[in-house]
Amino acid sequence: LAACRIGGVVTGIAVQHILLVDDSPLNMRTHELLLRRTPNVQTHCFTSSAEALTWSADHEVDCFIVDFRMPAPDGLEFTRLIRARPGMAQIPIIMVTADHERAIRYAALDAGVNDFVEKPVDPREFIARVGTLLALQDSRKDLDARVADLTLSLREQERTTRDHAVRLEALWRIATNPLLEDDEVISAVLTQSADVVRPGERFIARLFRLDGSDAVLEAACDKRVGIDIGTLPLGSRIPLAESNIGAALERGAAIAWDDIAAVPHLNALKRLKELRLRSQIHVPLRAGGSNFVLTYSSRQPTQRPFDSDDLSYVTIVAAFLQARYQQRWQAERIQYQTHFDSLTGIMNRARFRVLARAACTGDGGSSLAIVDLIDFSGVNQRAGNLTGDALLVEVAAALAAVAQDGEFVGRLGGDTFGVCLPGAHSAPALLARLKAYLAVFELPFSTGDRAGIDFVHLGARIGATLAGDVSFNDLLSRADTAIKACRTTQQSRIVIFEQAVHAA
Amino acid sequence: VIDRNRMQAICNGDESLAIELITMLVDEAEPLIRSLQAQQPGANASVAHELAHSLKGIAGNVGASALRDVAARLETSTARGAPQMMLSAMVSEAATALDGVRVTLKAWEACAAGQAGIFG
Repeated sequence: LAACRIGGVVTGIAVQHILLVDDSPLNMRTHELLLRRTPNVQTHCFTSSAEALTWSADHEVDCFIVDFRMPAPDGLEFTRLIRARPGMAQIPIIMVTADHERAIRYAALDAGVNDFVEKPVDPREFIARVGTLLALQDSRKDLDARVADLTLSLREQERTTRDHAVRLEALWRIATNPLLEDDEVISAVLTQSADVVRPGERFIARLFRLDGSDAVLEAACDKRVGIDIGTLPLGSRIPLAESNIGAALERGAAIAWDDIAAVPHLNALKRLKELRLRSQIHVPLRAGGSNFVLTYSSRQPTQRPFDSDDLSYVTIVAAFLQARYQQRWQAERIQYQTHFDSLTGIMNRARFRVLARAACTGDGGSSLAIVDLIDFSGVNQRAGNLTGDALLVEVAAALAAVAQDGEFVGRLGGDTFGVCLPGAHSAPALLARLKAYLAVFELPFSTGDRAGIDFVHLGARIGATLAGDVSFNDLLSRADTAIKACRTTQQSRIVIFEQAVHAA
Repeated sequence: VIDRNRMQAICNGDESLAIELITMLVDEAEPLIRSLQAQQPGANASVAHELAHSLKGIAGNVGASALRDVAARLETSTARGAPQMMLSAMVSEAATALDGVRVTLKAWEACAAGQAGIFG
């Protein structure tokens, strides 16, 4: 008998290898014949245990069947030597023995034997025991493979999680950098995120604001070295029909394309074709009543598909930009409310005073006028407060429309308006301008059809003062004095301080 | 002489395998019995004991019941230090049993060559 003989039925893919070692060729042949009935098993037979040890050092074995009594190394020693090898602690070893002595069995168990079969082997029992241990070995190998897979995927997950945390931290650093102006922060965030959205791949980041059927470039990352996707100045308008910027808005969530070339309807879009874009991520955001789309674009298809981490990252960047734009919008609104009259929309008393003071005390000074509605409280009573409010809106708009050459109108309170006229330096010039303002009242004002009254005629009087070498407060009191004179005399509609002028 | 049920179970009904196994038994048993016969009176009993043990093992394995039984008795007797005369008688008995196996082997070979089956 050869030292090694390969027998058994080999079918299927996962073949299990059984190493048989018995110094009696007859015994080994008997065992081998019995194992032939086990499917997917290949037997490797050795009459020399030393040769079996050598062979098994560099061959895969799923189960050992070892005779107890053999020329050295005997079954016990053979088992110890196998167990001492790295990775062999779990391989099933069955010992064939004619000895019933407990001492021998204990020694075998201590050496690392998993099971015994007694000589002469019972064919059914032998096959069943070997089958059980092979199944155990099979599931252990399967488990090992799964654990290896899982370990690998956990490592991968750990790596991506770490990368993700690092890029989020970088974003946070920019966001909390006190040295950056608002616009710089947005640009820095776009630059940083374009760099790390796919490390090693070249992406540019842009933020578009939607305006009608166009997307307007609101902000962009710094010029990228080596990425020439055409220079697009801020404020550039791109028709939505020519790009895929609208897709993310329709979807209401981040959307990614790993290879645009593989998406025929996108590939046909004018702008994408012109720019030869291959991969993109778009994220929609809303801030201050406007819709925005944050875009990352590259001329290369992605090296590996965009994953949930990437989408979650760009969504966080979008959320950050959204917060910034929302803050900016709110700040503008607050500023507007501080400076403008909430009813009429023209500047309020405070704002008017600031601007008028600047105009009056600046080079050349400025003339000032106060416009007062006649019997507005009566109109309010007759037509109701809502109609009165509507009329005030109309009057304010009409007066503001008259303003020219640096002139401006503010609502000083109730039915009183202020007009700053920096261009009127002489009494005739001032009078001419004031007549223009008074002319507003020649036509009736629309009420917006409240309480069945369509149009209301209103009258007004104007008190004014020319620019003078006095303080702003003095100028204001001069205009005030003039309007009081105007109210008292009731003979003219326009009074200019120190010089009463009767206007028709 | 041979347990046919056991042989059939091992060979799964394959007669040529049965003949192969019995041939192997004869080949392995012959040197063992020769060694037993060559044992000098007063020699180390443990050698005879090992030989008897091996003979018992291979005979039992293929169901050669008579040979196995005498080998088992010989194994026990050598362990107990039985008288040499008794041991020699047992070795002779074993040789006779092996002759029986040879006869059976011949018969099986004839069967295999002819129409009749071994396991029939």
